[in-house]
Amino acid sequence: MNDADFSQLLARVEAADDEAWSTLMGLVYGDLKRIAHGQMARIVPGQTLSTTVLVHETFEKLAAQGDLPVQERSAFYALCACAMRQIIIDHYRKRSASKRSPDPETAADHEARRVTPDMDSALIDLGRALDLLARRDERLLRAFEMRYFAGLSDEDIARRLDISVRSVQRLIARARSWISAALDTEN
Amino acid sequence: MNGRRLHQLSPEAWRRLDDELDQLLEMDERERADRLKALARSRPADVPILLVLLQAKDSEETLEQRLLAALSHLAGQAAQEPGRRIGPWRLVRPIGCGGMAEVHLAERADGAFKRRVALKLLWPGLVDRDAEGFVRQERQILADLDDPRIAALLDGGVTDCGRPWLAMEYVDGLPIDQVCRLRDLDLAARLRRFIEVARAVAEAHRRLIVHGDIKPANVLVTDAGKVKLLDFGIGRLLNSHAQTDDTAGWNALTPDWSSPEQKQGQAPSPASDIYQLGLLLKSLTEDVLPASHHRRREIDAILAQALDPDPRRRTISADHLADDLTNLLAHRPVTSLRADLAYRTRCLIRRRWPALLLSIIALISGVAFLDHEFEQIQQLDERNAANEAVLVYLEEMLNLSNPQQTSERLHDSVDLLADAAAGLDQRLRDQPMARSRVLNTLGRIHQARNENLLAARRHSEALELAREHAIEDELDGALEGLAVAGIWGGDYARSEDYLRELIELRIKQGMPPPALNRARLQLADLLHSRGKYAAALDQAHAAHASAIDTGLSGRVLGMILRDLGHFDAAGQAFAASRTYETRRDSPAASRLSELSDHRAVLLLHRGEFAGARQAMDHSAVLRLGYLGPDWGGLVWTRHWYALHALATGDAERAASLLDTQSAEYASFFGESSHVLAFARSDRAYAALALGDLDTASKLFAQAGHVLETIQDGDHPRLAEILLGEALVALADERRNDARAAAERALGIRDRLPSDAAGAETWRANACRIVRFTGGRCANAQGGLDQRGLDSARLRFALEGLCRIAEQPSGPDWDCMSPPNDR
Repeated sequence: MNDADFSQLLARVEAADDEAWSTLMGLVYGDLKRIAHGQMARIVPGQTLSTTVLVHETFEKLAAQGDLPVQERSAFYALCACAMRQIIIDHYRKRSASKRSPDPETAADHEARRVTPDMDSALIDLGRALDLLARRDERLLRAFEMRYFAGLSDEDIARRLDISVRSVQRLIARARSWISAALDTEN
Repeated sequence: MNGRRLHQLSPEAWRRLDDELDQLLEMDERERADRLKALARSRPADVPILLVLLQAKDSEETLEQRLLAALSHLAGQAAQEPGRRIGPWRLVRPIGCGGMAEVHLAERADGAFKRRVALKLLWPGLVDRDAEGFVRQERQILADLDDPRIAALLDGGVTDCGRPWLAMEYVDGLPIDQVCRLRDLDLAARLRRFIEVARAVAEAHRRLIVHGDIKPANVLVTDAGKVKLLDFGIGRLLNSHAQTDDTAGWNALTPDWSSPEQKQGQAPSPASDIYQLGLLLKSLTEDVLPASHHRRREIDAILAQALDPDPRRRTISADHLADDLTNLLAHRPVTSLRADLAYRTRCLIRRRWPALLLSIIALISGVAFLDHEFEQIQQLDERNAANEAVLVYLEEMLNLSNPQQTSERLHDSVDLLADAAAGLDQRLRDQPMARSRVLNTLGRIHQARNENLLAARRHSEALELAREHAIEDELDGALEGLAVAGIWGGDYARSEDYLRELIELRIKQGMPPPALNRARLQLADLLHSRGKYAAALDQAHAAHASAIDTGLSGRVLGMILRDLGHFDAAGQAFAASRTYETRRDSPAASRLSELSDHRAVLLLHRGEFAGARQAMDHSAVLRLGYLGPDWGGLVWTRHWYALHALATGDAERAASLLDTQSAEYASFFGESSHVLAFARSDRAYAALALGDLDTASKLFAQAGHVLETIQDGDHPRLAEILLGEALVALADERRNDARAAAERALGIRDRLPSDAAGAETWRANACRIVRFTGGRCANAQGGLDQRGLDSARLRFALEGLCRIAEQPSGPDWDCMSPPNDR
């Protein structure tokens, strides 16, 4: 994908074009994987990996593909955070249908069954919690993802959502409560 | 409060709570407490949810950790490539990753000895003090822990870039909860495995080592049934910042599996391990039907004590927990249960059971036994109630010798059953209801033990009693038992009558639809076996339409549709069945494997041999899982593998599998069973493909005879046999016989539905053999799908005959250009 294509893609995403949206999701997902691997190797002892670092790295990599004016960086981060949230929710929705049943394809493979359920449950649980917010209050979800997936500041989020900084702080406090509670009470 | 509740809030309730939460978060402690107090009066249901939400507000760090775990998984952080060396180990492949480490299967890089380990490579940054010193310390602590039930820590170190790693004993097994579900283990078997786990934990506690993260994923069961605990003490690594201060700052590793005090940030302790054991026990026992009400109470009492929120009041040690469960299995009083009279009585009866075998008659009648054994227990004076209790108890005890109910077989169960039956007439003379009930129980037990004749005898005695005294419950049981015994014993006509009577009885009694459906499906299955497909289809449709157990009805319906040649519709019915089965709370491996078998045969008929093979493998794995490798009963899958071999031209393998299978069918079902006839017919086709005319001829005759007997008219699957016989006759140069057999086969197949794709192919195959034998057949269709089992079977048989014709002494028959096959 060249620079012009990428900028165009962003414009189309902003204009609520579904196809462009899924293309972006594919990019975010692919790069997240690639960069996570790279980052693991570089991280220094004593430094804890943070989600924000992970996500920023991902998004910088994506942004490098396009000619993105610096002042739009937060817009771009917000967009990617949204793509990421959608990936997690989709993953949950897909899996929840077959959650309790062993997949016949892998049922024979002991190793696969040994590893998957527990590893996957963190992601599924998060997807379920995000799904709850998605169905109840889109604003809470947006604030949450911009903070935790994109690491945006209160001011940035306030600008994106066109509300006061104070309101952002209240939104985030509630979103955190709902998500944590949903995760805590997950069985 | 559970997670479901949060997700089930209505939008209005959610909005209300969200608004309330918004205000509460803005308040200081005192205002908040006042507000909550007011709410407890006005909207008490909201308060617990709000408390959970408020509690969650402080958990920033936990939230970060959980997000990280989720995103790590999403990113599939298998950063280390296979082949990389770590210490003396070479990574083979990644086997998982979580919030704490990535895990690889690894082997010795220097090949010094062949040993595979699970190598855990901790994420950077988790250990914030001297990593090397920490690993050394952990290795020292865990080196003492030498218990076969605990996966050993074998090696450890720090990589070049400072990441700690640990090499643990590699365990090839499944999480204990999955094993229990997958193998459909009964309560006793689950408890025995759990006791092993508790004993291992107790052993570690004696060495002052705490696990800290007991959960199903850390308790594996190997194929050999051995329990293995993973990650013992590893939790210490993750909580490094707590260092020497063991009182605060610990993060519960897995919040769902943590004790209340762990959730508050306290260090793991023996008491928290016991709490986690309690959670594990709960998850292992909650989906098995308790053998009885009182047993459930015993378990609940044990659970309540292990799960006490106050660590000081919890079960005192893991050994105590194991002892309690051992007592429960041995029917001794459980210390966790407040001993009441009835409970002690039952324990007494159970414990003394071996000695009481001799006085079983007294036990049934109750009187003498009670007077003798319960001298001290004056309260048991309500004799009738006691009799009833003893009767219930007797049923339970007898079920101990029922292999389907439990693996705790009594060695002398055969004698037990014989004694129980012998004394009944005399001792329970005046109690027809009790007598018929015990007879039905005995019948069911004999049935489960594959003792068809004995089962039928007990049930017909029960039937006679039930009819004579109009005991409808037992009439129902007797009819069902007799029908089942008849089906297994090959007496299909009688079974059909019993099932029809049973259906009428259940309609008359206004039995709940599931019971009626079960009977209908049994009848449909039987009619299908007898070749009465149309009638079978009616019953199956009726049951399927009720949408009660579409798992079962879809299976039966699909099987009938398949044999009618309606392959697409059959596929849909199986799909419906699969959907139902997999959505059940705990999918039953037995039902899934049976479904997979039916699908496999459908795929064979469609010519999708690879897919069929996959389905067979799947069902074989499932069966192995729930029956265990030592299963001595019937192995159904062997027949389907034989069909696959037959369809793909491996006649020798088919022959050898079917020889074994026929012997098994004969011993389980007797000579007159339809499955034996099918196996013999299939075996005869293998013989044809191998050029063995004598064997083919003999087996076709035997199979044909059985199918002619079990159906008044022509069984649809008699056509296969007739076509085989036609080929035998052709090779014998009995052309008229050959033609007559082939034409009769065609006649049978002409009666199959005309709008079924599969039936169309079968007709065309029959037509082709008719022309082969010199007859005429007008409706041979060109361009039909010729890939299926029927076509393949005939093709390989013909090839076998060609080889005979080529021999010098072979018949004078030009197999390359058979008459009229142009």
